[in-house]
Amino acid sequence: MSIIEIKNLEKIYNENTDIPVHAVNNVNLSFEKGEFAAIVGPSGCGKTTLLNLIGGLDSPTSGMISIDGVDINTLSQSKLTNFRMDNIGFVFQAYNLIPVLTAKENVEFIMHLQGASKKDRDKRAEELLQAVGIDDKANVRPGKLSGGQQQRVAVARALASKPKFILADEPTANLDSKSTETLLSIMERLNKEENITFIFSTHDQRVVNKAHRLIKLEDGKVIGDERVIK
Amino acid sequence: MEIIKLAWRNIWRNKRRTLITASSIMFAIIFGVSMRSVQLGTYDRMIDSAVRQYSGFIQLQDTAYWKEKTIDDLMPDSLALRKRIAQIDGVVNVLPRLESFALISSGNKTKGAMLQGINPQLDNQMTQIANKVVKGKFLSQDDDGLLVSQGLAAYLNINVGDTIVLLSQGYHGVTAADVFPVRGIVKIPNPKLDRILLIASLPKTQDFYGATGMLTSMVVNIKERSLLHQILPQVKKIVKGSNLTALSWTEMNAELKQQIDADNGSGQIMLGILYIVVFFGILGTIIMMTAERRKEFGVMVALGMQKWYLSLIVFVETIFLAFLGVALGALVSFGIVSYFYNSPIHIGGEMADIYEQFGIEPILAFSHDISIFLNQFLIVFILLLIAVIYPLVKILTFNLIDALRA
Ligand SMILES: Nc1ncnc2c1ncn2[C@@H]1O[C@H](COP(=O)(O)OP(=O)(O)OP(=O)(O)O)[C@@H](O)[C@H]1O
Ligand SMILES: [Mg+2]
Repeated sequence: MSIIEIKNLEKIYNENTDIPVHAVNNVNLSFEKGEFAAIVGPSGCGKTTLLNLIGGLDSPTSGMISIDGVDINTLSQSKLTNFRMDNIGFVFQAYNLIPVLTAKENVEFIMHLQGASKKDRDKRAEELLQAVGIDDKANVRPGKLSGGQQQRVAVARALASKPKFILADEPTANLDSKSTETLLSIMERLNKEENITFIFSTHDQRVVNKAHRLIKLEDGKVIGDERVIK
Repeated sequence: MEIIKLAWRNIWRNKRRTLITASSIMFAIIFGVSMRSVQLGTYDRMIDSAVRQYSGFIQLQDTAYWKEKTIDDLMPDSLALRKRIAQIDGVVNVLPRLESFALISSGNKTKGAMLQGINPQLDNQMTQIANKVVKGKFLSQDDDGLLVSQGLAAYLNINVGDTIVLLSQGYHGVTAADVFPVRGIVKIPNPKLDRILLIASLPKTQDFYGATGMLTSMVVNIKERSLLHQILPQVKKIVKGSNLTALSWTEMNAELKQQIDADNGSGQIMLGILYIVVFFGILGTIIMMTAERRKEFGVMVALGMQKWYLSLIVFVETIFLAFLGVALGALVSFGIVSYFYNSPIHIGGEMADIYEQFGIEPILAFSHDISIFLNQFLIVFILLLIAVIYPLVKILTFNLIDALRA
């Protein structure tokens, strides 16, 4: 069974004006556990909008998204917030770590919200920081980390709650090529060894090359969906 | 999450702003506390000099006496009545008095004075007048001499051991004239009274005015001013139906009461303005703290933090901010107030004259009543609760996508 099921998804901005924007246009997609999928397409084609809809951050104009059988658009604001916390990991283009918390505290952040014990938090945060190779900076605040290091902490943070999948909107767009490579190899390894599901958008050809599945968007429509045999 | 940790770190993200905001609260508290302390301290002292040292908080008089204050409207002394009133809870004792005007002559000078006949021992329990004898000695119970206030004594050049002549109109038209040996010179704190007061024993005064067994008033000496509203109705009940009336200090010192109320009101208006300014300072900081973290709030909610929880963090931040200001303000103002409480400032020059006009010692007295502090804290806390509404509403209503895009 797919973990994400998207049916007839539409998002129209400025619907009731002279210039409505059809940012997502009749999208039908499904994602399986363990995917490493890239959403690609020119700027303004609707990648961010689509990822925000899947992540339950935005609500569609019409259509349905179900995650593990739950139609997320039927959830109340506060239920949806809890649903995101427990099921979805987010990695943002601009890292968006909480500046007053150290790397480790950032990783623990969601576990705190989930009410995990101190012992569990400690153990998991340490494991995850190690997994992204940043355990030596555990007690450093984001302001003192490079962009690549921050994004690795962000990946660790996204994994902390043991989500069903991770959504990453252009995770490497702010990174230099070396950091991009490091981050990608970490994501690939997590995907291969831990069977973590990644869905990310990108402009970057090197990132595209690593994807196992390529979803091409144009003007909000899916114009291609191919699996790459690795 | 450890709300406390997050909130505490957040307020230190912009050290300077936090310090400026906390200092504005601190200075408001310092100013507010000091000002109220001086005001209330001054009122206490005003009331103390005017009331405790002279009229007392409650007086019983013949109903007709208060208006005309003539020696003809006297009331009979009654030990039974005095005893009955003295039994009321909070009443220390009841002081019989007979007072009226008299002309005093010494050498070739003559002056109008007020002769107050008292029970020296009882009266002293309220007025502590014996401590104010600067020369000579205090009166014995049925002394036939008198005490002369210092100002009057200086004017007439009177000394202990001198004999003075008093002239007046007595009870029911008799002529009052007698000689009194001067037993002592007494310094009356109220400068107005210090220029006119003569104090003699009650029997001698009654004798002088030809009013044996008669009084102008009974002063009900109560433990504390705060007990007045309890005791006054009971006294009134006792004299109901007789031709005696019970007056409170606010009636007997209406001018003083008005003066205090007016000053108190203007002080509160000033404080109000001060706190409005402080309020907008706090509000400005809170608005900035909220606006610049829009995206961060969006991220937190995206990751799974409930909006109410986020509101709580911001609320705690605001509390911290205010607490910093209040704590510093409390510390400094407590220091100031307790210093000046123990060593009040003596005022000189024109201010001193103004004080004297109202019959008060020219001293800037501080009150260290705890409620002064608590009131200021309460005001800051309430202002804070109002100011925090803005970010709370902002957080509870923000659009997640817009916030993330910021
Ligand atoms: N809040 C909004 N209001 C109106 N139009 C919007 C809004 N958000 C996005 N759009 C429009 O929707 C379309 C899709 O935008 P989106 O950000 O999803 O594209 P994208 O593929 O992520 O672009 P990029 O590669 O530049 O990040 C664009 O035409 C954009 O202008
Ligand atoms: Mg985008």
